[in-house]
Parts: sequence; C-alpha cells; structure tokens
Amino acid sequence: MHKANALARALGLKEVYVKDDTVNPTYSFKDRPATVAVSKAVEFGSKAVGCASTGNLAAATAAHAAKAGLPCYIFIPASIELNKIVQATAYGANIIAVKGTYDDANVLAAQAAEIYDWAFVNINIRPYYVEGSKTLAFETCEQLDWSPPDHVIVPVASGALLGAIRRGFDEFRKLGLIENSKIRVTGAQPHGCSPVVDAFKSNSDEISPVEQPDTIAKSLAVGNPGDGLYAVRNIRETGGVAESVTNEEIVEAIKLLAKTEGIFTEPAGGVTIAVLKKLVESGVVSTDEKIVCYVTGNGLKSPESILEHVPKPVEIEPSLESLTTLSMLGGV
Amino acid sequence: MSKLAKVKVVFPSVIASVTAGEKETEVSASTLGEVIDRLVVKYGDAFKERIFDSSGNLSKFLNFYVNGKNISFLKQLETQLNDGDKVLILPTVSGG
Repeated sequence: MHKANALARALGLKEVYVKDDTVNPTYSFKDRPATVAVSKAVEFGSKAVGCASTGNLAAATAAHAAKAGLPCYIFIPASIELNKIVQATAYGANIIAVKGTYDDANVLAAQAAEIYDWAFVNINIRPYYVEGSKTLAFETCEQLDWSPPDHVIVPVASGALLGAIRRGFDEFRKLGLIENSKIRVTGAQPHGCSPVVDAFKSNSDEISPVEQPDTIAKSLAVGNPGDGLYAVRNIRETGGVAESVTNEEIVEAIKLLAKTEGIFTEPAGGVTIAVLKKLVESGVVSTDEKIVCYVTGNGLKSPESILEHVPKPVEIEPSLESLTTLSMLGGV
Repeated sequence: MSKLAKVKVVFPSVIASVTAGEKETEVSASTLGEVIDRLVVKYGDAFKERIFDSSGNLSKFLNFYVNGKNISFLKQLETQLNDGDKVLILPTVSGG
C-alpha cells in the first residue's frame, strides 16, 4: 500500500492510497485467488488444475501449479497480449488458445470441467478461489492501521473481486477489527465492456452481456460477468457508484499514475485511476474522502497498450556536443 | 405450427440432482422455450425451480447456449432450433 500524495495533489484530493498488486509473484492480484485454489486442488487430490483466463489468471494459476507439481491447462482467448501467454508458458502450462472471446474460452473450459477430473480454479473450485481476494480488504485495513477508508475504487471484470473486497471489510467489521463505518465500494469498467456500469446506471437488476468486448483493458474484457449482478448489488448497498472510461482516459491515467507515484500499471489499473479522476471532476467523490485505489496488474503485462502514447527516445551521436544541444535537458 | 427439431440438451453437474442424474438428453422442439417446457414435463417441479426464478424468468445463475452462442445474443426462449442443434446449460461462473 502506498500513500499516493502526488497523485492526490494531481487530482485535488487530500488522502489517496494505492493498493499496489503490480509487484505480486506473477505481477497481478490473481496470485491471491490462485494460491487458495491450487492449495485446495492439492488437498482434493485433483489430477490437474486449469482455468479460463484473460491472461493474469493464466500466469498465476500456471505458477502456483508449477510450485505444486500439478499439470496445468489454460484456456485463453486467442487475442490476448502475447506477453501474458509467454509468462504462463514459461511456468510449464499447456496453453489452449480459443478462437473467440474470453466468454467463448470460458464456456469451453466449463464443459471441460464436466468431463475431466481437473480443478478449474475459476469454475468448479470457484467457492475457494474467490476467498483469496478478500486479503485485499484485510491488508488494506491492516496497512491503514485499522482505520479503514471511506471509499475504495475496484476494477470490475467478472465482479468477483469487488464482492470479495466488500466481504473482506464486512468480516473484519463483524470481528470488531474495524469500526462500524460505511465503506463505499465503487466499480470501474472500460467503455466497450461495461455491463455492470450499464446495469447500475439504468437502475436495473439485469446484466446485459456484451457480445464483443472492445477495449484496451483486456483483463477486464469479460462480456458476460458471472458475478455482475452481485457487483451491482454490492455497489448499491455500500453507497458506491459504477463508472466507465474511454481508452484515451485509461492511457492518460496509466501515465498519470506512473509519473506521480512511480507505479506502472496495466490498463485495468488505469481504469481504476481514470474512474477516480472522472468521479472527482463530476463531484461524486468529495475532496476530503480517504480513498483506496486497487491497482491490480503490472504494466509490463501489456506495454503495447501505451506504446504509441509515450514519447519516442531521442537519438543522438555519442558526443557531448550532441548531448548538450538537446532541448529536453532544459539548460541543466 | 413450426417443424419440430431433434436437439441434444447438455446439463451441468450442478443441476444433475434435478435431472435424475442425467447429463444429457434429446428433445424434439421448435424453439428453446419448447425445449424447456418438455424438460419441465420430463423432470418435474424441482427442475423447473432451478431453471426459473420466482418471477418466472430464466435463472440468473444459469447461462443457456445454442450451438455455443449465448441466447442473450439470439432470441432468448424464442430462439428457433434445427435438427442436430446442441443446447448447453452452464452455471454463470466466469472470470475472477
């Protein structure tokens, strides 16, 4: 957890924290659910583990399977970032690239779970899997010295992470570890795949699936979110909101977080920061709120998402004359 | 009356308790809605209660596919069926 003073100043806020999961063992928050799920697979004596993944879960499941000595089968949509496949492959996983969307890959994995004696971490072993993400709430409380935030911003794909975080806070309240104050839980999605935001804004209890997600935030491109309805309810019940942002806003937010806090996030974290910025500008977030932003994956997972939006290197001759004529040095 | 199509229906393990342990069956029907009606007749009220919510709408905790396509992107229960089509029912779990 970082106290993000520079980011807070840039956004006109007083107290902002970044819960930084870019530096986990496989560089995303998915280590949290995957370690619980693979541990249970070992306990149950499963012959193999597997998952359907937009990339981050593939890497996490593959790494934990490697450590546990279990074969691993990963179903991915064929369009995800190559870097994410390379990582899971290096851990020794068998990668099955499905020509279709994440939801197509997930449907196939769900059918495979019916015929193979494998533990699919996000399907037939899901009740255990989701518990791992509660640690994002537990650690937030502990790292804020048991003085919980007023408001948390959570990126939403399936909606399971948001529910786990809310549940984590609730459980700590019941245990008396934190005071009985309200913590607003806000959901953040990208334009091009925002079924939870759409349901929230239309005051509906129906999640309308997105057939062809279209966003640079590939790890949030879950068009038919399994926990979408729960996410909408959790957001409403906690007094949070749901908001979506454009690709351009995501890219600007990635750069803002990197330049102010030295944290390089994948687009999902950019969605979190961009939504916070949007909510500040619209007055939904007040300047004196104590806010935690969940930044759930490392920017090195998908550098192509901002490659065209950062300055190119300036090429010079290997001489002091060439160096000292550069305007970028600003007369230093 | 539309021509009846012979279709295969595949169930997930989570509802096998209300299909007498059957994981697949064949049904003759012209639409998905007719398929469900016939399955309710075959398996009874326990099956009906798993497929529909208390308002009579399809359960939000199950997804229905025809030949791999989510019926949300087809015509829901009005989706027309042809001989050899495969109806797949899965629990709504995804992502994380």
